[in-house]
Amino acid sequence: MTDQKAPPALSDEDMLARFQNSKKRPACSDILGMRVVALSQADKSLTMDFQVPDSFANPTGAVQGGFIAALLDEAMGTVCIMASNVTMTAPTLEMKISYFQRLMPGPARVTTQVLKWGKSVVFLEASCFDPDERLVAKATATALPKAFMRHTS
Amino acid sequence: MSDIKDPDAFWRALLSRDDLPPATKLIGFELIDLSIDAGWCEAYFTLPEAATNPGGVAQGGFVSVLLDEVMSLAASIVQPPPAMAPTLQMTTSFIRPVQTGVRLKGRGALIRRARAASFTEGWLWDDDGILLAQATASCIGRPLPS
Repeated sequence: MTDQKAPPALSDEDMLARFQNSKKRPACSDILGMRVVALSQADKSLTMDFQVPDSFANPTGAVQGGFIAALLDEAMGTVCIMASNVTMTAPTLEMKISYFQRLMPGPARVTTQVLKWGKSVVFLEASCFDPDERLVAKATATALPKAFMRHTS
Repeated sequence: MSDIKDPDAFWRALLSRDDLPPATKLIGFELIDLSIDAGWCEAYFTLPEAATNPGGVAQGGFVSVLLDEVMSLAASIVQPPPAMAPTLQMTTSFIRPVQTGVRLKGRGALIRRARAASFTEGWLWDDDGILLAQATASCIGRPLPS
């Protein structure tokens, strides 16, 4: 992976702008109300804000746990795209989530980091926080990076 | 304790009604069958196009949504209704890509109901019966707050 050794082609500021201004966002980013708010290419880490819609609520009014998985997976997928300098996507192989407390629809924040970018597999972690900065859930995952082929249509 | 006389009829009615909760409706939930005695629940799902990732298939988290739904139900229905089973921890294996906009079949099964925690397992297949994803979880059963 010679890519890993090469200096980043873009500054962190420019990379952030690239994500924020992307006009070809995948559908799943839109429904999650996702916005990248900070990133570090050196740390392979990223912070993402979400606006969780009411349609993700279970009968108690809290966000159904699976949708919290969607927030965490979205962040972990995006940090892989960033860490590969927008040359690769990394479909998730396996993801484990611990749920600490409930999340209500509305704003949420996820921080994520690449723990190891191996020869064929990436190890990741991500944490979801509510608007009061309480830890809602934490995920660890493995993913399999492959060359980026943007799906059009 | 619950004063609902026929839990089986209660759950079937709850899960087949027209005004399903928003999250349930979003994923195209359609009850196939359930067993309170054996602790399992099967349902069809259709993921919305909005769940599509840059690769053109379902984002993994949305796959977890489907499994969480049937697994939580398997742990909920064995309790005196109305009840729920919030997930403590869940691990999903994404075995094959999952398409949005097509019918999928999910099954959640209770593996063990202990005094406090319950353990569940879940499977997701496509219409041809090909296994797409699998999950295990632990959860805590409790009465549904009214």
